[in-house]
Amino acid sequence: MEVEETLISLPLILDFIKIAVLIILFLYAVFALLIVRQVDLMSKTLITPVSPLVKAISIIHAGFAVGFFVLVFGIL
Amino acid sequence: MFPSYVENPTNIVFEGQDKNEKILLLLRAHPITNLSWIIPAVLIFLIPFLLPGFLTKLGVEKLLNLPSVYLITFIVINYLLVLVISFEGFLNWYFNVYIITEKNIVDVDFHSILSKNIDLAPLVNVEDTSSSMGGILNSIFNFGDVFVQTAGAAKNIDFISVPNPHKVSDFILDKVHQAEGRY
Repeated sequence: MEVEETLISLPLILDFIKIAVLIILFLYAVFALLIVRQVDLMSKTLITPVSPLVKAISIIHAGFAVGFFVLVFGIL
Repeated sequence: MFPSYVENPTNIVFEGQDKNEKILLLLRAHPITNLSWIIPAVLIFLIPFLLPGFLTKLGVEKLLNLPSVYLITFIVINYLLVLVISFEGFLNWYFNVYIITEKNIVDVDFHSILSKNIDLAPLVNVEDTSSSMGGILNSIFNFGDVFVQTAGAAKNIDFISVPNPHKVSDFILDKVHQAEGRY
């Protein structure tokens, strides 16, 4: 148990976790931007009263994903 | 709020619809098919609640002794995952539609994140329709597949997991006969 605790608190391990998290969040942010494009494509294909709401959610989601990536880059 | 069987829908327009073309029936997969993404989303939602107990049982709870900022980041990533699974699941269900208009049958498919496929068949080209329903969930919730065979080299159109498949099949044939002026 003590070995586990020591391993996790090693700066090298924390750096490794930080890089892994940043890569995941970067890919997530790219994916979130693709979703905006996807929703745009879908909304043009099928125009419904829900389309503007869905578009707004996708844009807010992408903004949050990019913002969270920047935040994590700063705080970790 | 989000129906999967709508006769004469208003406020809905699809790409390529003519000005004088009225939508007679709009179909989506039955809402129960959404369980395929709702169940994983719920399970992932529960991970932060269940993981500490699970690690304690395994005797490796000290793995959670990370700085709190890391733990918060993991929790946020977990819920972002829940959000994206739910949103993508909803989008795929909501925008994959089958439309029957006065002139055509339209099948709008979004296979992956940036690819779409629209199959369009004139009603007068429809030769026959068939419907099938099998399985426990299908029988309980009354949904199944409708297969529309079209004339010539045109691709057949399949409606997958739609509500009231037998009714839809009959509806299409009635409209085909009307379009051909037979009845």
